[in-house]
Amino acid sequence: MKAIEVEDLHHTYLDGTISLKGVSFSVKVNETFSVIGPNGAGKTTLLLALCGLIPFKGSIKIFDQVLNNRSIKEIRKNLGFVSQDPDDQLFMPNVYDDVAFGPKNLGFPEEEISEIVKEALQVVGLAGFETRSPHHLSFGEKKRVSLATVLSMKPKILLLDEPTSNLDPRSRREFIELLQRVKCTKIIVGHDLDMIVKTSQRVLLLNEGKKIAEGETLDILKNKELLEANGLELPGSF
Amino acid sequence: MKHFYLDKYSYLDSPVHRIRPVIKIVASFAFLIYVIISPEKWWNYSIGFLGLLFLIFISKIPFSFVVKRTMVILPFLILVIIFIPFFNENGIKIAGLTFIKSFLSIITLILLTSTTKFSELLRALSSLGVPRIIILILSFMYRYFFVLVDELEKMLRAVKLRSFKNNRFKTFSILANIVGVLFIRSYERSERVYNAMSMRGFDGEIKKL
Repeated sequence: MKAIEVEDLHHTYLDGTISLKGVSFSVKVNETFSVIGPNGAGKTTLLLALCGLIPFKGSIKIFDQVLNNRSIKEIRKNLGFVSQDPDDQLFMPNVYDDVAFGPKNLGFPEEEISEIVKEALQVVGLAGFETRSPHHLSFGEKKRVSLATVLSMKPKILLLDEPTSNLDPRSRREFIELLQRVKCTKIIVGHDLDMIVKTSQRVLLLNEGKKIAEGETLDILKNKELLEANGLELPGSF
Repeated sequence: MKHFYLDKYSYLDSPVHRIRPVIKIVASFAFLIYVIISPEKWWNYSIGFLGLLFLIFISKIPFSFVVKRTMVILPFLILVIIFIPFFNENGIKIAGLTFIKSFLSIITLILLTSTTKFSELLRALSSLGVPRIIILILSFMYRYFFVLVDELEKMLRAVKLRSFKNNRFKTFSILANIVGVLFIRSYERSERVYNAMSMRGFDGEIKKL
């Protein structure tokens, strides 16, 4: 069984901009799969489509279940989506309510929820942050709380939009280590290639809404010509 | 960026901070009602005022903060009472009473909101039976107020850094643009927040906080 199977995915924005032009790929269970590409390549659009947040043409199967209006509620229980801007992700007045939001909506038993919240905050290294308000947190802390808000739902697939953008070097390294610790299927979108080398087994390269390449991380990231032709560069240390 | 505009002193620790929020809310509103319907005697209000001063003192909130907060509301209050003397025989007395009553009410509410964390205040309101939709709206307001202030500050800074001439008319048109951009950004953000909510099982039904 594949975690995600996407076939011939098309998407056009309301203003007529075509953002995805027939993308196909598949992701194995428990694999970390990255989608890379320059700005405007359609990476985030692809993530939104996988979550069923935008209308699309083509077929998306998640754990062999076709994504459509009827199955969407069931499928979303398996998905944990972390948006790029933590201010979009954290909408409750304090950290506890935010981390508990998902489990409460999924109908987890009331007495388990505080335990789940504690556990999720522990995983991201922020134990004891329950009563803090999001606007009193640093950007790095907000990012980690964002991850905790979906980890508390115990998702089978994590979808992360540019998880390391805007983080200082230490927060970034800690976030990468955190991602390596969390065991489940992960889809990471971004152009921080150093982070992608450290976390992902396979990579999909997108440009202008088209699939350019798909394969083992190192096979693709070592191909300097391919990267440069698509607006990407490996960091100097490689 | 860090902000302390709304509940700056609610993180202090004092006997007043430690009172359960529900009790604080009920007591504050009981006091408000008392202030409004109490007999019009000067000792009555002085005792109330001294009581409030005492509570402010033991809650460790700086008096200057309370005064500043009061100043924000005072203009509105004055605008309301300034016309009373022109329409009434006992106008000046009524205006004075209205002023004193409102003043005490304002201080009570400042004391309540600055000794209670906003999230605890919401929880207490919800356990007092305030509808969930109102609680949710208040909590979003509190949460995104800071995000909006951040965005506004960034834009104002960008304007400052790039404007060289001081032309009042121009400034107004720039401000109008900023308000417009702020509106569009908030609208777009609301879509993204809604996405984040629906990805976490939100289906329109509001669960208890």
